[in-house]
Formats: sequence, C-alpha cells, structure tokens
Amino acid sequence: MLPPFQQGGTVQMPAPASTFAADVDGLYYFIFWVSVFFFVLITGLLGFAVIKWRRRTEDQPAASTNTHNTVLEVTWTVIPLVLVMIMFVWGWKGALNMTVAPGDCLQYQATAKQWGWAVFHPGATQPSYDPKTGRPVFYVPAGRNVKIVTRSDDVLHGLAFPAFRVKRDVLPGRYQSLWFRVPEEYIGQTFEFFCHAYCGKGHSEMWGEVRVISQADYDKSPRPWETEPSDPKELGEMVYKANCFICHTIDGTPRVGPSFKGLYGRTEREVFLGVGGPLAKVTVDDEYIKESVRNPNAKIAKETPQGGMAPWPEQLVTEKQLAGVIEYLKTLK
Amino acid sequence: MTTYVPVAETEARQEPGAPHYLNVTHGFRSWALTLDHKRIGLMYLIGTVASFLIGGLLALLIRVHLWKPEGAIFDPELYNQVFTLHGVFMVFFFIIPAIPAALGNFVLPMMLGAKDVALPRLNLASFYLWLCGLVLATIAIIFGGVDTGWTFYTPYSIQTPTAVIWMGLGIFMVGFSSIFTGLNFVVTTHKLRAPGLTWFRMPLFIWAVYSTSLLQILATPVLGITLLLLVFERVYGIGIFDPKMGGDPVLFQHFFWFYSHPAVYIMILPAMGVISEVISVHCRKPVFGYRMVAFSSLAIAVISFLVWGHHMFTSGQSEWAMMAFSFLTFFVGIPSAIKEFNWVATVWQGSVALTTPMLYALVFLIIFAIGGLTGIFLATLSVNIHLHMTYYVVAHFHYVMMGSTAIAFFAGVHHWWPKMFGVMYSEAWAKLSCLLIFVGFNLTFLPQFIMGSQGQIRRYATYLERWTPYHQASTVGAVILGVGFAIMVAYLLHSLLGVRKARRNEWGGVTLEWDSPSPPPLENFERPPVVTREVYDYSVLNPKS
Repeated sequence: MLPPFQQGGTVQMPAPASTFAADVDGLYYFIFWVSVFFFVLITGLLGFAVIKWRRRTEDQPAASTNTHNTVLEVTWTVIPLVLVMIMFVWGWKGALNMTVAPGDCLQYQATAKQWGWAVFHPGATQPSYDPKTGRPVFYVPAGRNVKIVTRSDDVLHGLAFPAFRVKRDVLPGRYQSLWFRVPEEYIGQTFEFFCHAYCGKGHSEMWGEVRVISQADYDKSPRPWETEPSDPKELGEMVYKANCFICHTIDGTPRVGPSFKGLYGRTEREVFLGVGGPLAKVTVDDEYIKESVRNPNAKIAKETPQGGMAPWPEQLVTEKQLAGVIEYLKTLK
Repeated sequence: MTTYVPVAETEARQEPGAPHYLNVTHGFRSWALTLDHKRIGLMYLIGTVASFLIGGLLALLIRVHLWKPEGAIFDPELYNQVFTLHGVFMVFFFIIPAIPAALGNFVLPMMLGAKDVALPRLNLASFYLWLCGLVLATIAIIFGGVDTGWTFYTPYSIQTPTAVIWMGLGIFMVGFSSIFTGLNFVVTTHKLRAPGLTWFRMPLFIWAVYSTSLLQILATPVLGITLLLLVFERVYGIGIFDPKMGGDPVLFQHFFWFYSHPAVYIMILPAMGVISEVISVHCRKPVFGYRMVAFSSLAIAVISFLVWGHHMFTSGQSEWAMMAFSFLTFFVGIPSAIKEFNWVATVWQGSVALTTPMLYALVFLIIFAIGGLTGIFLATLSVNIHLHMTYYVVAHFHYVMMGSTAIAFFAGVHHWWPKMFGVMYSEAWAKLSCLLIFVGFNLTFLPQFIMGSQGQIRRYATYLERWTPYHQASTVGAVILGVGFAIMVAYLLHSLLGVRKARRNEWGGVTLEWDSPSPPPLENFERPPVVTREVYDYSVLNPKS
C-alpha cells in the first residue's frame, strides 16, 4: 500500500487546503481519467494487435494493406481536439482566478534571500520564525483572503504552497504576488511552503511553515508572530537557524563562509579591509560582529577573500536579535 | 532460412568480400579526415553514446544521493554540479545530436539513394565543432564545474563563481555543429534524392529529419546569441539580464526557451521518424496515414516556435500571454496524438515480428503515450501552476526525452546495427536488456509523478522525510535501468567480433538503405538506385532461400 502523505490528502494530491483546490483537483482528475481512458485504449489495442497478428512464419505478409481511412483519421483528430479545448478553457479560468487577488486581502510580505525567507505579517516590523527551529512561519487566519507580496534580494526564488495549489516566481527587482484563502476546517493544521526556483546551494533548505489559525487567535495580543524567545541566547540561536546555518557551521567545518565555532573572542583574526583591500588584524568582539552583519564587505575573512555575503539590514535582523546572535556566538566555544 | 529481399537484389551484385566503408582505408588519418557520411555518423555514434553513458552515470549518482532525505553522498554544492552536468551532457551532447547526427548521418543519404551528403566537408566540420564543444565542457568541469542547471537561468548564472563561461562557449560550439548538420541535411534532401524518389515517396524518417533540420537552422542561433549575451554579461557586465543594472532576468528565460522549446522537438521529431521506420519494417506494412504523419512533423516544427512561454506560467507574464501559450501548447499536442494513433493503426493487421527493434518501438509507444498524456496536465494553466517546477515536470520530461527519444534512438541503433557493421547481436540478451530498461525506467520515473503532484520540488539536494519511500523506489529503478544499459553495451560490443554475420536485408525493409550490402561500400550502392515504386510497398518482397 502506498504510504500516506498528509492528513486529508490523497495518493496524488496534498490536502486541498485552499479555495482553489477543488477547482484545480477537479480538473486534474478530469484530465487524469481521460488520460487513463486513452492509455488503456492505446495499449489495449496495441497489445491485442501484437498478439493477434504476430508473425508466425517468416514469409507471413501483413493481414491488410490499408494505408488510410479518412473518417477514422478525422475522428481521432477531432475528439482529442475537443477534449483539450475543454481542458484549456477550464484551466485558463482557474488560473485567472488565481492571478486576480480580491480587494479585501490581508497583505503579507515575503523577502527571499540566498538562502532563507523573511516573512512579514501585516503591520509587523520584523520577520517571524519558529522560536525553536528557526523556520520562517506564516500565521494565516482561516476564512480570510490572504495576499503575499514577494521580492528577492539576489537571484530568482519561488514561493510555492502545494497544499494551496498556488505558486509564484520571486524575482529580483520586481514585486510579484499571490493570494489564497484557507477554509475554516483547516484551523490548527500546518502546511509547508517551498522555494521552487533553483537558487543555488541552500535551495532545498528554503522551506517554511504555514499555520492556519482562527480569526480570534490572529487578533489576540500579543500576535502569534510577535512571540520570540526572551532568553537572548535562544533568540540568537533562532536567528542563526533562520538565516545563517547554510553558509556558517557551528562545528568548525568551513562552508561558504567561516564557521562560527570558537569565533567570538578570537584576537589577531586576519581580515581584508574590503574586497581586494589590505590585510589587517582584528579582535572578534561585539562591534566586529555587528559590522559583519550590517556591512559584511567592510572586513572580509581571510579564508573567503571574495566576500559575497549581502548585508542584513535592521528590517531583517533587529538590534535585539543581533544582540542575541552575539550572545549565542559566545556559547560556541 | 527464408529471407525477404527487394526484387532488385536478384540483379547483379558485387563480389563477396569486396571492400566496404569500414575497411576500404585504414589508419587514424583515414578516420580523422574522412568525408564519408557513414564514418562521420559512426564517430558521432561513439561520441554521443559515450556522452549518454557519462550522463547516465551522473544520473545514477543523483539517485544514490537521494536515497536519504539528508542526502547520501554529496554536499549540496556538489549535488548541484552533478545534476547540472547530467542535464548538460544528456541534452546538448547526447540527445540533440544522437538521432540526426549519428543515425541520420548514416541513414539519410542512403535512404535518399545518394553517395554522400551534399556538403561532406561541412559534415566533418560539424563533427569537430561538436568535439570542440565537448573539450570546452570538459575544461569547464576541470575549472570548477557548473552549478546553474542546464537552463542557465539568470541572475544566478551571472553570480555563481563556477565555470559558466567555458560551459556556455562549449554549448555555443555544439549549437553551431547542430546548425551545420541541419543545413547539410536540408540541402541533401532537396538536391540528392535518387531519380524517382519524389517527396511523397520519401521514408518518414527523412520527413522527420528534414523538419528537425529546419528547426535546427532557425532556432539554434537564438541559443547561440543568448549564451553569448550571458558570457558578455559575466565578462563585461553589460547588464541586459542583471536587475541591479536595470536588466531583466526573465528576458533570459524568454530567449532560452525560444530555442529550448523547439529543441525538445529537435530531439523528439527524429525519434518519431525512427519509430515510423521500425514499425513499418517489422510489421511489413506501410505506415498508416503516411501524409498525415509527414505533415504532422512539419506542423510540429512550425507550432513549436510559438509555445515557449509555457515554461514560464508562474513568472509573472501577462494573463493574455498565458492564455495564448496554453492554447498553442494544446494545439502542438494534437499532431503528436495523431502520430501515436497512426502507429497503432500501422501495427494493426500487420505481420508483427517481435524483434529487438520492434520491442523498443513498442516500449516507445507505451512510454510516449504516458509522456504525451502527462503533458496535457502541464499545458493546463491552473494545474500547471500546481505542478510547475516539481518532480512531475521531471518525470514528464524524462518520459518524453529518455523513455521516448532515447528509446527510439536505441530502436534505431538495433534496427540499423546489422547495416552499419554487417553483424548481428544476440537477440536473447537484447530482449532481456530491453525488458530491464522498460521495468527500470518506469520504476524510476512513475514515483516521481506522484511526488511531484504531492509538491516535491525539483533540484533539491535534500528533501522531507515523508518522500523517502518514493525516492528509494526511484533509485532502485535507476539501478535496474543501469544494469539494462550495461548489458546492452556488452552484447553490442560482443557482436562486433562478428560471430553472427548480418544479412544484406536483415529485417526485410524496402527503403533504399536495405538495397545495399551490409556493411555498405564506400559509395553506398553498387549502382545508382532508381525508385520506381511507392514508399513502403512490401509487395515487392519475394521469398528467396
């Protein structure tokens, strides 16, 4: 038996957790059964013909030399044409519905960066992450129209919600958006979202969660996305898991950037003052860490002379979070 | 043993043991500087099959890596390079040149009754360009590999520190090799048809390769320009695709797919031609609806230029563009459906010999049916948005390219192998290998459809736990597929020892290449052929012991 995927889903489809799902799935299964019909027809006729007219003696001629049949040929041109035109119109209507967002949407923002998401809830000043895993989280009230405006700070990314059947490329230099509405029966459930456009090393790690909540929980104060760990070390660890871990390890192995293990407090650390700049020695203290986050190319670790990390402005990592990161780094002996 | 040969064979023949194209001259120079289309075709065959084996090995590594959710062997950076190289080798070095340049080079002039292609020097030049491309690609691998995916999407391909420039120039070279081959075949088809070989007496393989050649000439320059722009972007920072300088990264996608969508028809059209030949010969029956099949090749060639936007339904293109591209995509599917029905009707009431080439053709018909039908899901706008960039697309693409095009290529290799080398392979081993390939292929890619519709995104070095059983089934399938191909390499190489000599007309074909010794002499025919009968007229076959 095929293993189950998600609560409420089927073998072929994830849970139908948005108002688009019924239409998309209906069309999917319509095409599926039409395809099954034609596949069985084609392979059935083929199998029958191969068995019935297989060559038994080497000099056996073909049973017929018919080379065309206009009625038959027109039939098998017109029937598929009619069927696919139905699919075309049905699919186009569904897609139009997805591209035109209603006017009363709650507006979220999602900024993609190699390799992570910063998810901003309506009115929020800082991105929201799961306090433990550091995964980005959308808290979405059921029954409300939700619009997510996306932007990218570097390369192409993509924002895909399989359970909602929607997806949009995230482009640098252009705002793109998508919208959906989750029916109320999904309150309390969690779904994933993914980056679908290949963006390099951390592509497969760019996923996060959507938590469906009730309107009452959404309105509660503090808002669900405003809770973050109060302990600075835990806060720092969350920020690390959300933003840093793909390039910076905590076990000493160098990756795209230097490892954080034993970094804090090091003296005589060799850095270049800017790309191609002169070598200098610094002590890794609070000021150095702050500068490396806000303006990474001012001092570049000797191991990675080409630099390349983009700055993390206060909008993505708050001062409080940055202080937490520093506390967290101190624990990485 | 009774065998079937064209009437013409009862006439004067050349002496047994007379030199053929393989042994008429000897030495490295006689091959390196050859102008013989058969030798050039053979060199292409070796080169493309070697590329296929490299690409296949990389595919196996990908599948082994994906045995575990966190990845079994590579770190993500290396994984990205491996899948990129797999795509580049399979697309640019194997599947685009495989049927036209390898099989087409050998078979097309013979089917036309010509001594050679119209422009033999250009033919050799095209092979060397292909080889230069391969050398540049190898340099790219040595200089750090490429991790952009075979699609080279900007701005990632502008920013990645890997050897994109070398690889881009390599593919630029291969592109021109493809243009030269196409040009050559168009001229050859127009100018060198044997007396009496009118357009509607041409075998359907010629129609297919002719349509392909038109695509190669018209579409490939766009790829060349696009890759040059990418190289300029990296070297001089001209800013056409770079959003930081006001460029548009999506423009690259338009340029790229303006070539690369016709390119998938550059791959599949000649495959369809091979299938028409193989089914006709091994069912001893004219291809049903000959004119419809011929015209559908041309129709595909034309419409395929107008569907590129269906690769970009989520990119933010206008709703009207989406509508047009979706409509045209459905439209381009119809000629393919017509062909599938025509092939089944050709088998119907035929004299169906279950030889190895025919088995491959049957595998093609089954897999192409799935490949084509799953394409309908992707052409449908709202369903496409759900499936876009998932494993569903990966599975669909491999059903059409690997399961259909590559399988048709191997149908052709087995069909024309006795003609090319004058030897026959072990049919028992060949059928076993064909079975393994069929089972392995479906086990590899069927689970990927399910993963894809469940939302598993492609090009992921790691994945969520719940997809593990499907990934592992896929990996087991890939290993079976690998064993199937290993057996194929073994028995084909073994056949070259010449244990079993091939007959002049091994399968009882009636196209002109069978009216020549196996292997053919340098000049292809003992005397210039004259065509006096309609195409696929099997009534001319006479029993002869």
